[in-house]
Amino acid sequence: MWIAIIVLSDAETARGLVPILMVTDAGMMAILLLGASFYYEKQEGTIKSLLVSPTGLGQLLIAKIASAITSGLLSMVLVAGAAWIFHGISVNFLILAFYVIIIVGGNTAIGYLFILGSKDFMGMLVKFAGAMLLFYAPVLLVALKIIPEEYDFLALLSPVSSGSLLIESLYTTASSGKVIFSAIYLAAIAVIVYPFVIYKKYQKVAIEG
Amino acid sequence: MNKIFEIKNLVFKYPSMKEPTIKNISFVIKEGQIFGLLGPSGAGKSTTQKILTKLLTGYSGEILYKGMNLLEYGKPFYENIGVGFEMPVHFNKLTAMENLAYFSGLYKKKIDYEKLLTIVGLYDARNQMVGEYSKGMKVRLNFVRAMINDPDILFLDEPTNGLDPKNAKIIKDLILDFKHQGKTVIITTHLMGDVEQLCDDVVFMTDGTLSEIATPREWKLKYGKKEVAVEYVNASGLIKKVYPLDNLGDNQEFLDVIKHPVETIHSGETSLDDIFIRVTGDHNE
Repeated sequence: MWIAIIVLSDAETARGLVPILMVTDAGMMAILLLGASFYYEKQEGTIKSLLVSPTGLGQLLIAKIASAITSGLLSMVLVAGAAWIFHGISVNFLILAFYVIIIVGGNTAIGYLFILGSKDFMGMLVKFAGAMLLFYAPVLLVALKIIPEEYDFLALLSPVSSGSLLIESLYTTASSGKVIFSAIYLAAIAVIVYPFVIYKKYQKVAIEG
Repeated sequence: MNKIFEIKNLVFKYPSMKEPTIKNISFVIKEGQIFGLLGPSGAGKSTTQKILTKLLTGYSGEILYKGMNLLEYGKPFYENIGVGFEMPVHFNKLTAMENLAYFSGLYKKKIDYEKLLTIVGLYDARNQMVGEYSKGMKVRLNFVRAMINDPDILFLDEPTNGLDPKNAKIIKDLILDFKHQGKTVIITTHLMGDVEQLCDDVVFMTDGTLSEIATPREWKLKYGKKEVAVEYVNASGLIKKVYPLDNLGDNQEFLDVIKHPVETIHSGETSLDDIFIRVTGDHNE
């Protein structure tokens, strides 16, 4: 569907849409897919079965992240490829892939916090939606001129906004300070949250019930 | 027999609970035996099993596995154990063969699971999606999953629950075969018939505490009445008499009674179901 949207858009619109479509898949869709698979596997009991096998919890989590990254990269190739083939919008694929990996890492780490803190998929969705609203608050406040424009960097605290900015920086222009901040911010979330929070909490939540 | 597990002063409390679920229990499981851990729901059996399978940590006390602290064992510990959960644990969208191939791939040791599928009567349904299986079929597949790595210790939670008598016997025979290979089984069940047929040692768990450990026979002797009841027919009709087992051979009345046509004769031993209720008291299942 993303390809169809890009093909049917003019070049300028496509240039604006590509970052949004990529972040949707690498960020929000990755979180939703991980959430759905976690609750499904928990319901089927297969996580428990894996945890009493020689498979380490670290391996299990790496496999989950790897699948989300693969999905994000696949979407990236299709979306960026379509933009390039149909509208001649070229981009540095290596940097783009690097950004997609960081976006998946940061967003899924946040996503797992919602997953492990909720009893079921619906509960996770409600928390996720609430967090999205919270993260978009600075964008709205700036747009409504309630807070000055120089505070718009606060919007980058939203993993979706910082992810969008990273992709946009390759298709349009963006402040290098904001790009560096976004990259470090998303990578730091993944590096801190996965080993120190998710690793410790995952097994406990997975075997409950 | 060597000790395979030695549990000393085990206490475990879930963070969300006020009281510990496991309250200072100590017991020994010997190598090559079938050990029955029985008790009502919520007594702490599953928690104990999760601790012994290293799914739960954060307990106090000590658990020795083959003489070494259980916490010191890494993931290779799982190469030697098989776990059969009460609820079947399979990917419903995969066939039985795909499930077993997947789980088998996690272990170094392998078994011929097609042979085991044949024994438990699932070979013809091996390429059917597990989601289409009946409860009994899933329970049998669960057992095959637990055996997939040719373990030395088998943890089984209600292994025959939901099975018809014929299939339950197949599973029980496989458990006994496993034991006869010198391997150890730790079993939790509500089915006292299974306990009587399978278990060497039995312990009852109630509200996080343990009873003494004894064989099913010892439990029955302890709680049974030492008497024999005889129903016989004489000129006045059917008569029922009860005699103490002590010095029964010298009891002239008994010896005279059994010269009449005897219809039934029973010792006063109690069933394990009755013992379960008496030992675990008023705790509801």
